Amino acid sequence: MSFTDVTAEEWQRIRGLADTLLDMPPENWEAASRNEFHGEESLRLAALELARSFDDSPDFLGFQPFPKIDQPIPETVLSAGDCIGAYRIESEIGRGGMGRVYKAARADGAFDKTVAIKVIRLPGIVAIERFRAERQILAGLEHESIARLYDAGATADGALYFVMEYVEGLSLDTYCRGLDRKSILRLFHTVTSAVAYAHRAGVIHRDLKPGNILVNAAGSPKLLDFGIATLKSDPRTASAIGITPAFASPEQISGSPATERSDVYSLGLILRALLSGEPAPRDLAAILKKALAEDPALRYPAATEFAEDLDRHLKNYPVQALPVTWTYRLACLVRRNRFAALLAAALLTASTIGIAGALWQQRRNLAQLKATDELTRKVLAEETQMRGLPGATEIRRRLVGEALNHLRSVVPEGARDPDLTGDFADAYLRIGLVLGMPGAPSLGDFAGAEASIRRGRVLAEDIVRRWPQSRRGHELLATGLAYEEALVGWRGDDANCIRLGERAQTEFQRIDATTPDLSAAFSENQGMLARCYTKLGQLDKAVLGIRNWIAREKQLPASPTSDGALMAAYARLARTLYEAGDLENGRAAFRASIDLRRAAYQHQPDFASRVVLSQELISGASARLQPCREPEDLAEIRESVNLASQSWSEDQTNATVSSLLGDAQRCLAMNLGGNGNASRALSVLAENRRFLMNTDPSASSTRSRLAQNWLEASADSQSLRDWNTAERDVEEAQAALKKGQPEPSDGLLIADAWSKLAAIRFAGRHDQDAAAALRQELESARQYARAIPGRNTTLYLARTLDSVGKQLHPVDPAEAVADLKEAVATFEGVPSPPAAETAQARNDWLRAR
Amino acid sequence: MMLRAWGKGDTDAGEELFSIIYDELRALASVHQRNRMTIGPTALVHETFLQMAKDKKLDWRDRTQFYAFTSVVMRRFMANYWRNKRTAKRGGDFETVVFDDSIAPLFETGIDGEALDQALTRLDSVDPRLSRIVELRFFGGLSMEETADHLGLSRRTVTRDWGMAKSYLAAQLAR
Repeated sequence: MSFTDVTAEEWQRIRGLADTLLDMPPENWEAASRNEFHGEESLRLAALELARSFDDSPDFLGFQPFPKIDQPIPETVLSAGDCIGAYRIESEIGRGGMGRVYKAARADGAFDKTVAIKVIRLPGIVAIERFRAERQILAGLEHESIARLYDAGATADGALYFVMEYVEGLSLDTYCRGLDRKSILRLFHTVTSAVAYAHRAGVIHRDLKPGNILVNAAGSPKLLDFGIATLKSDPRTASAIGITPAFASPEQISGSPATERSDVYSLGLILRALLSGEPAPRDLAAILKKALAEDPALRYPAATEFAEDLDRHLKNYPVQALPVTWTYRLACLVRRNRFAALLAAALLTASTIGIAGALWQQRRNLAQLKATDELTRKVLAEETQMRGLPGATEIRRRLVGEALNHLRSVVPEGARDPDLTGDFADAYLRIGLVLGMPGAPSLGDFAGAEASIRRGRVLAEDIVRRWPQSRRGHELLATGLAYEEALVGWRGDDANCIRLGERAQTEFQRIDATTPDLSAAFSENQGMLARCYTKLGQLDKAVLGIRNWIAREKQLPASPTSDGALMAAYARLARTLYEAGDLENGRAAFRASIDLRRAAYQHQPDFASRVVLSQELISGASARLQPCREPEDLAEIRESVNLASQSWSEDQTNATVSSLLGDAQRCLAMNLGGNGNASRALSVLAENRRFLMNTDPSASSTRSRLAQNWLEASADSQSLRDWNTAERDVEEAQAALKKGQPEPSDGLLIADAWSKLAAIRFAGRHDQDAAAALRQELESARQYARAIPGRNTTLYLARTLDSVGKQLHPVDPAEAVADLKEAVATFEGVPSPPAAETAQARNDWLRAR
Repeated sequence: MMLRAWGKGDTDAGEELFSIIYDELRALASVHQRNRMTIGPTALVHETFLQMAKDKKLDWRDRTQFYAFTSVVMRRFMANYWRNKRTAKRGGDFETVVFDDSIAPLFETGIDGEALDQALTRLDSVDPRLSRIVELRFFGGLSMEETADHLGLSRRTVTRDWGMAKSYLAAQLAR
């Protein structure tokens, strides 16, 4: 009988006996139980069986228990003096449905900064998972009208906190009281543009209301709490908890997920409230009606379109909210520039009336064509003015497209007229520019851009062929060739880049490009051409081209554009010379580039110019035969570290700046270590490691930076004759590389690790082990050169062959000579081989033989 | 309110609560499915309970009753899941499929949840205290100390009972 088939009463007796047995050693169980349960042997056996199978370990039959479900946690209330992250609470400044807002300051006094901290309590663990993903997106929102999110995290008791820019100001509605309509619209346009920026970044606000928009003393609006409503949203309905119904969209109130169109609706409500009581003109009423459409599908799809329409209204362009009619567009054109439009309108009307008479017809056509040409150029000139405007890309495309359509409706494309053909070419080039141009605001359709630009360029060639005296034809041809070169070079077709670039260069030289637009296009042409020459190994041509470019820029009157071009030219020259192995002239070019950047920084000491100066200093110190190790570079490396850490303290979320600071620190350590300061170098490296681990330890760039750091530390330990630490450092480097995704560039670091190990083993007189490490180094270098084919990696392989050959010579002379011979052949196989290094390698080989 | 009634032995209140929470869980699971969000089964169950607390359908103040209730609910979930699985009622009923898919990793532990439920019911009839301990420890995720705390027993008693219950259930499941 088993103890599973028993009554409750029997079970109690069995278990009672088992309890007693379990308190004594198992060998006594048989004897102790013998006198129990007289005549009920089966019960006694069941108790024995129960005692034998007894196991009170916490696991359940080998299975994990279910996770515990915790009760909700109470609201977190902080008081002055409490710390959250690196911040100390000063006072409570607000309280909302989901939590409290505090004013706080840095607790460590690292720098003086007041922040606002919002502490919210979210239901559930999912919310925290979602929060982690969202935090990344929110921290990336950088806009002058959006309060920055500096940091966010969870407190020890599980509440979430957001460290945000502290903004002092009036709420939008209070600020707007008494302002005239135009000022309100301008201010509101700034707000809408900020929301548009966020929409483009994929972030929806979900809780826009006047109280979330503060206007500071300078009159600039700042949007608060961006995206935080997303985190507060109910996952089932995505409707925010505690949103303000007065400014919520109908779909949010009914519990449907909020979209960009919901933000558009809220913005519409805000604008209507701000304009309260004033009758809106027709355009504005149409804009409001579109923003406030009950059906989300009828609204502006996102704030971008809303902002653009407000901008059109402010500038008297046709708004999208109204149906587009020719008369309406004409009315707007008239408002913008009266004369040309009136003329065109008159002539268009004349053509519709239709006046008989062949002669009159011909004369009238001529006049109409002239007016068409004039109008087209006016429209295209408008496009030029709009290039600097943020968010104007789509309007630019439409504007140029309409000019082109208008042109086509009046005259065929192959017309025998230089002006009109020029208009066509111009329109095609502009459309291309709007569609796609790297480094400029565009719609990102690079293939479409190339096609349109090529069409414009071919028309320009036609003009130049038929009317060789047309200056405009040559200008259009030069510009078209340069645009095409940029697109072709950008997608890596270096041979065509050079072909187009050289033709563009000839055209630019012929027309003597002095206007700002042509001059800027010429600079772009020179920069891209040099890049394509360099990539194909035609370094002499690249250097010559950049030198001519610099000479030309220097002749131009000083302006921000030409200063920028000159800096770019020197920076490119420096890098090209460095690639060509001309370190001396490369140094001079870096000097010039650094000096220009330092002057620019002193003239305007802002964040961006500080970062580029710091970068150029490090690039200059790295462009040495022994990168970062030149003793005379120490001061500039220190300067770079200081500039980078200042930038980093201002913006710790900027990836460029944190990599810059990491690199500058390592460069400093390399300089110290290379010049007899190994122990100071080691402490800088330790600091660098802490910094790397603090920024983003999981990033792949951090992984290789960490390995580089350990390898450098190993070199320093070697110079301190601490062989054990040196070996351990190499192992740390190898371990760092084993983590995460392997990358082709790892080969360089793996080879370096082997080279360090070889040195350590030579020092310990383990020559055979050292030789083995050298062979591994060479193998890694070969793999690296195979993985990333190119001039630089081939040069690196040649240098490794030379150095391995020299070190291997005492141990294995035959193998060493073979390596040295291969080194010479490899150097000679590189396009534009570096003369001095090649000669040195040949020397090494001849001597070893 | 209902939780308290259930705590006082009102089985109808327990049934009603369970069906509310079951609907809630299925609704949450299908929302996540529709939004193509991946959510761990643990998180899903947590969210369900927290959602109910927020909607005031559950009174949280009595911790003992709360843990007792969640462990019973988990036991019921697991039994339902395994019953669905056995009778192959899947396909057709979107909600059931979604729910089962969302929750599966939690219950696919290797123990047949339906058999375990039946074994626990038997254990309950011979020694109710033991089945309570198993519910709290296994389905509620409470530690030995917490279980002892909640039942007002000594740690030693709970450990001994736990071992006895495991022997009983193992023998039941092995039959």
